[in-house]
Amino acid sequence: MITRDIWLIGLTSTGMIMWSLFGSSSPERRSLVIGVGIYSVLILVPGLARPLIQVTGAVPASALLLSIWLDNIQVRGGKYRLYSIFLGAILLFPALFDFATIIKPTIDKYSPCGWNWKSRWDPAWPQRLGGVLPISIAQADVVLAVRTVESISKKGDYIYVGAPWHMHVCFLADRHGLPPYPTNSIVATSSQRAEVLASLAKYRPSVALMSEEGIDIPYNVEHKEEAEYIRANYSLYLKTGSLMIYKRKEIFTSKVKGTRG
Amino acid sequence: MGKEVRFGARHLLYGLWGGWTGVLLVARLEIIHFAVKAPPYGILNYCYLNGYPKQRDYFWFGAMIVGGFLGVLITRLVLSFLIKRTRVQRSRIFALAGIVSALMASLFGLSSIYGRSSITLMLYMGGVLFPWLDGRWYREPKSIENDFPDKRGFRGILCWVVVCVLISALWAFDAAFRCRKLDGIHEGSQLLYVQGILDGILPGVGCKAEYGPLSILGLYGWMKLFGISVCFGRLYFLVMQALGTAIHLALFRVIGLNWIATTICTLLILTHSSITGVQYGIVTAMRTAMPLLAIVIYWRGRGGNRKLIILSGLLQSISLMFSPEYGMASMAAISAIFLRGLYGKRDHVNRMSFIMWVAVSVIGIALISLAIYGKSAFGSLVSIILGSYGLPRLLGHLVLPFPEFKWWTKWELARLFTSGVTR
Repeated sequence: MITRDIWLIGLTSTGMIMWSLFGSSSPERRSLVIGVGIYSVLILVPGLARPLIQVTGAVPASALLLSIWLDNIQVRGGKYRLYSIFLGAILLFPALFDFATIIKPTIDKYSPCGWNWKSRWDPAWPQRLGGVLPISIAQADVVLAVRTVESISKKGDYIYVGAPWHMHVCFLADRHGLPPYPTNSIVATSSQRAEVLASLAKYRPSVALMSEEGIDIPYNVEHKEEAEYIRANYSLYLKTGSLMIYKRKEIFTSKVKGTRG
Repeated sequence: MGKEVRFGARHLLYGLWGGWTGVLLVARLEIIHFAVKAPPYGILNYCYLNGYPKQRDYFWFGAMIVGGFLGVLITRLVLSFLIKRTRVQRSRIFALAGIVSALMASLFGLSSIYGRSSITLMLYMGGVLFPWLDGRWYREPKSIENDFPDKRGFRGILCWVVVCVLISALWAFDAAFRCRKLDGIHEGSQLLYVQGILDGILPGVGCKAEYGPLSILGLYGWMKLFGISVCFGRLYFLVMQALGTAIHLALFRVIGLNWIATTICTLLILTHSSITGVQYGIVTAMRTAMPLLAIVIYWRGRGGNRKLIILSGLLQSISLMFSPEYGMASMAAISAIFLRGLYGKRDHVNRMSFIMWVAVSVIGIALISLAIYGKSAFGSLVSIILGSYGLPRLLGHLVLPFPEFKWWTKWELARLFTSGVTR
């Protein structure tokens, strides 16, 4: 689906730009087609780099171009109508082809599980959930993790977040990520990793949230320097699911409290 | 006097097809190879670690786009050369032969096996050459002066906007939003920034931001108003997705003329946009809606409508501060609209409108920065632009391989049609 969308958006946007530059399109809308076409192609670049949900950003602009093309059905007759219907069918085809797959999450939104949440709500759960059930993508016990972070750090402490799938733990525990990169998912270059190391040395956060999973590649591979620093200066306090909570060694007094998940 | 070159839809489609299929066949020959190179500045990604040359994806995608441009340009040049010399009405069989050859070449080209066969190349050459032997190829296409009668009433558009909001709200609404899994990456990172603001750390001053500051301040403001919790954060994302989608749908009515176009495009947006998937932590619909709205409003006001130009400039500045990469794309688009008007024929262009739009955008950005950052506005703005996460992304962070075109290879229709073709 994603591959097809990228090709359809890219190629039809190019086609529309060329139609506007050289074709017999309406003079009134030529500049709009060129502008929206360029926007559509540029917005496609993040989708090309990371072909996941990023592709959807380019759909509206290309749909607007399609809307302009399909106006030929009304304005022009004969073979122009055929051309328009042909291109419209090609572009609509992915939507119809995947309709069953695409429509499923939308129907799922109306599933009854949303209506009886109160019966399952436990008052002991973090108040910042606000009624949302503490189900973690990475299968960690969110409540246990939040309570642990609260118990081994003070309000206002920085937390080093080396676990991209567990960033919500900080918010739920009312703790902030280590500046200048509160989320390590945006730490990309070696100089940025050096900045994080300097910040670890400067602020000496009491707690580090770690996991072996990264976003695409293992955390220990992409953030080798930070992982080594944490292993050298912190001790494992709790493991739940894929989340590992580390505590700084100099203030660590007891052995590993437990392992769960 | 020679005939005037009249470039019709058939020439355009032919040029595009010729360029795209040509690039596809060159790619099938596998004469261009790519080495796996480490991304710059110590960036690591999945492609590099797994020996996948990501530049291959960019190259061939760019080649297809450039190929389409070249195909159309060559067609136009050949047409302008031949139209002065062609007087004889040739047999109609050439048109049919050209279409059949072109279609077969495209089908074979899509197959990984038959894309490299000599028969495919011959069919491609036939598709490229046959149409020029047909006399009808040189006839003038129909042309119209203006297919955009400005007949939209304000009340009609307003009614449509209300309908769009209702459709989008119904589509975006998630009754089960309280029992969705906690998404640590998308949702969690946004909540982490909100936590930072609560602790007095503004993105751009105290820490690096992932998106523009307005994106996160919007979430912060909403949560400050209704309550600091994951629940209200999710409601914010739902509202933003619904509003963004409503803007997209409303634009079809403003631009489009007929109900068929509006229906098809509405279906496309509702099925193929981020609103369909249940994911909290992103506001893709709003990120793309505001720049698109700025583009369309500028286009409507480019003849000198000051109110529209000011509105477009304000939307542009908000877009840039909301999501820099989308804002920059709309800046390029509006500049292209201006340049097309400047050098094109019969387009309403007003240089002062563009200058006013640039001025309003700059003033808007300055005012937003001052309102958010106060005295450190300039430094923060520089930090947001130069320290933008978009730059490492462009350089290769978090890139993934381009998925295969399985839709075709799964069916392998080409194999059925070409069972006698040798490799």
